[in-house]
Amino acid sequence: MSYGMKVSKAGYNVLTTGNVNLSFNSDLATHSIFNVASASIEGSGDPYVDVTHSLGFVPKVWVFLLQNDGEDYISRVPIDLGWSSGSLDYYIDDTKVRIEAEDTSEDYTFKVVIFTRSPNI
Amino acid sequence: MAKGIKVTKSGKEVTTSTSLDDFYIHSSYPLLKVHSSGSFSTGITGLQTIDHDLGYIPFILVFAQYVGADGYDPYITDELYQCDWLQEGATVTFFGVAQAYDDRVEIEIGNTNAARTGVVDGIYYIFKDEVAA
Repeated sequence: MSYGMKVSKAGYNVLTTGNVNLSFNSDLATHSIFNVASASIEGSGDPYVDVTHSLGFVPKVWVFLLQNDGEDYISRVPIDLGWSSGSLDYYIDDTKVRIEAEDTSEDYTFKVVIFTRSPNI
Repeated sequence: MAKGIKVTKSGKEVTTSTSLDDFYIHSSYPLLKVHSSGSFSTGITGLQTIDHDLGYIPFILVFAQYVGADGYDPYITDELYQCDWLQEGATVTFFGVAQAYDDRVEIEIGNTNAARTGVVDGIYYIFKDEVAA
């Protein structure tokens, strides 16, 4: 006998409904947030910034660029900001997330979402 | 004594697993939660606004068809690509922009080619989780 846990949406029978109507199924990977970190690149400094983690594996990560056009907003990284500003990108290893800027004269502020999940589901 | 809930993936022991990758629920780490999701259709180079009532900037994911150009004729791909993209050619700029504000998500898909007609389809996810300022 195998063990597990399922939680269905309201109105659906957990014993019979499909995965699309389950809020949780212990057979399917979830995405838990390990940490949301702030990071910045200053135009006068290194063209990259590292956000370290202690997970011991390469985690899934989202990176967002904080911007302001009169209001604060976010855009996803990687992003190409055009001829004059270049692009922003990142890579992940088992100890850090490194965000790199093509244009080294600009200041950038980021939010880095590190999940507890590796690509090896 | 601290209380919480842990559920491991199949084959992993909940009381001895040390890698967070082994857990599908670990109450010390919040699950990503969807606030709203759906599809949208917007004219090429039109602005699509999706309101939310969160009062803070949430995480988002947006995917949309890509508007390319064959000479001066725009074409729209069948497949969806994740925003953002910006590709500047010699005469045409191709873009797919998704920006999350504290009350809305703004999406703009298209290119700067003069011949602009057609409709672009896409999908979006707005999450409950906050991009803390």
